[in-house]
Amino acid sequence: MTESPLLSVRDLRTTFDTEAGVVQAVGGVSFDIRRGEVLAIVGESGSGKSVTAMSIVGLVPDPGRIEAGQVLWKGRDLIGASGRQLRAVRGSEIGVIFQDPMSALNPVHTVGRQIAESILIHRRGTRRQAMERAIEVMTSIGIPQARRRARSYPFEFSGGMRQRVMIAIALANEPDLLIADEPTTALDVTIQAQVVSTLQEIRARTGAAVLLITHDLGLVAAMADQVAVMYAGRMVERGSAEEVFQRPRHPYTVGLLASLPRLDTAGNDRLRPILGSPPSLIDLPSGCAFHPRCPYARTPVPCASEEPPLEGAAAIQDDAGHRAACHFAPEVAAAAVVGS
Amino acid sequence: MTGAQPMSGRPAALLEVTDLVKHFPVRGGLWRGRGNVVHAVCGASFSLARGETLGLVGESGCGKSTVARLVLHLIKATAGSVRFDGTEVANAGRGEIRAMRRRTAMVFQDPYGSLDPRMTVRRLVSEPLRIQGRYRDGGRRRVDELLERVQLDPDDAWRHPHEFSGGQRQRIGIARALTLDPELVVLDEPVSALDVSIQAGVVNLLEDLQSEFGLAYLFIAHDLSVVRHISDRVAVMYLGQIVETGSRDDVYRRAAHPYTQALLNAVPVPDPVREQSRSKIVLVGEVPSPIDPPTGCRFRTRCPKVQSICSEEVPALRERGQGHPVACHFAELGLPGIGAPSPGAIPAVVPR
Repeated sequence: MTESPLLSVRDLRTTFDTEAGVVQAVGGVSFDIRRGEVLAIVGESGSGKSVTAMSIVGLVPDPGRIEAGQVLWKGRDLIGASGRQLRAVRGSEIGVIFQDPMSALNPVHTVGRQIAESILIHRRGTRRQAMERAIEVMTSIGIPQARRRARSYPFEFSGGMRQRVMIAIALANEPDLLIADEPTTALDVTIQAQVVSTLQEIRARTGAAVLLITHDLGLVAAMADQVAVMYAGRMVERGSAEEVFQRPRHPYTVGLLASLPRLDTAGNDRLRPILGSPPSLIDLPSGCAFHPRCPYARTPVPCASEEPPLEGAAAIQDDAGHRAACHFAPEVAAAAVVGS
Repeated sequence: MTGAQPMSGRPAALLEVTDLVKHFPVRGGLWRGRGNVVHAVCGASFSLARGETLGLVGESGCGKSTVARLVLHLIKATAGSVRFDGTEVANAGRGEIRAMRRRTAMVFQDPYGSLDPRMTVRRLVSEPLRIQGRYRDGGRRRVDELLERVQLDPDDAWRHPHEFSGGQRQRIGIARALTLDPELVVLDEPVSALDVSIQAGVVNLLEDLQSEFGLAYLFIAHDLSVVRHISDRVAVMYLGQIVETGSRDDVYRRAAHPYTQALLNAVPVPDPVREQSRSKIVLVGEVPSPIDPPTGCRFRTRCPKVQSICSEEVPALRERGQGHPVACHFAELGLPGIGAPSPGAIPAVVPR
């Protein structure tokens, strides 16, 4: 752990003031990404994974605001940075890919121009040079006939190709970190496979780190080195992908994996849903937010009275850095291995 | 053996679809008035027995949702036959269609869009009874029963859809579909809007309801894992045509169509060790436009096995020595299905 992380998020808290109350979208999240590493943040709707990503790049939509925490990019805190400083990082050192390329692209400009523009904002050079670079990037990520396609408009592209254009924009300035928020969710599975293979090639070629935000555990397994699981705005488990999938230590992660129908098993077992539904982020349960749905919970003490930490001295951690924010993580780990 | 002929050893079909065709005229745009049509469904044939689940799977635009609507006569077929319990639906009169609708139901993908936000849950679930003039006679009790059966609290029946979570809302949609004791339920992407932990509960509920009431399901989805889990038989669609069909294991373990093989291979397995070491088939290109589909085999533009015959001759969906019907001139087993029982036993033909 001598190398300092590329990105270090510390105790990030992001809230949304709504008429119904204050939504605790992200409630104290910490993690690091090292150079060249792929970290997947996985969680279901409302877990706070996308808001975490938006908070990092300063794109939290209204009425959201970052309450507390640090986002250390190469050691410099991006929270509190000016719009100008943020823009200098975003799009250049950090590239961002969103789920829906149609709404992220400008419909009245050619895609070549949009890619070239993102280059010109951050680099000196002529329009022509930028366009050449745009075509180069398009070719490199598998857009056929890039020179001709650069003159097309977004509506002339299919969903998969549009997502490639988004990737091209994100990559145009050779970022050190690529944030991909549900990059393949809108795509069909055969097109998803193409985009995943493109992202893997890029990663191998450029050595960029990737922060992948997704609900798709299959995609996580395909791409991630490290996995962080979020539930109700908290990070509940973190570790290497292999560890988290094969030896989950948080009951929520165990439940998530058990509820999944999958193609690599016999397929006759009854699915095991997680009982209940996720809590309201306005009125979170006391103690561990998962305790009302948890088969391991002991209430009121400790699960309803004390929030189990993921970080700090009390966190349960093994040598490999696999952590779970659960009072009974060792029991969960033992049972999950036996169960599988 | 597919489509029109009932399979030996199986009871007579509740639903029999033969050579179903649906063309949609293209209006507006650059080609206005030139008579272009979207070939949404082109000669689909399948059957469904009582109490059975047929999974209809394919990617967006393959025509699977159009098939759902044709089956329930929500839209009119261009050609072909849909027989429900022996009665032709395609050219039925109003009375016959109404009678058929009493015995069928549909569950939609979007529990937000398909439930009227101004109606209470009681009103929503009882609406079919009211339309049939059967609410006065024990309707209230029937609604309570149904809500309990889908694990909702009848005391919440005065609430409106927006007060429920996505999973609960889909349960309301299911209760509503069951109100008239249907024999056939068409489910169009019923769980794809739900998170997996919630989805699992709804899938289990659908399985329980099926065995309890002997329902036949036409289960339409793009999620291959869910379809495998719930289906007895499966039909794979590509660009308006069924390219492979058979029992669940025929399709998932003994896939013989290159498209089915690629589709199954494209689903990432939620296990990093296996996922990152297995060989992958990445299809080139994209699904062609259904306005101008390729000649011959529609999959040929993306197919790793393509030969000259593929552009000349449409491969019929028939048994080709693989144990189940496949629409490919070069149908063969040999690419690893994901759920293959002995991983590594079958060498990959198309390594990345």
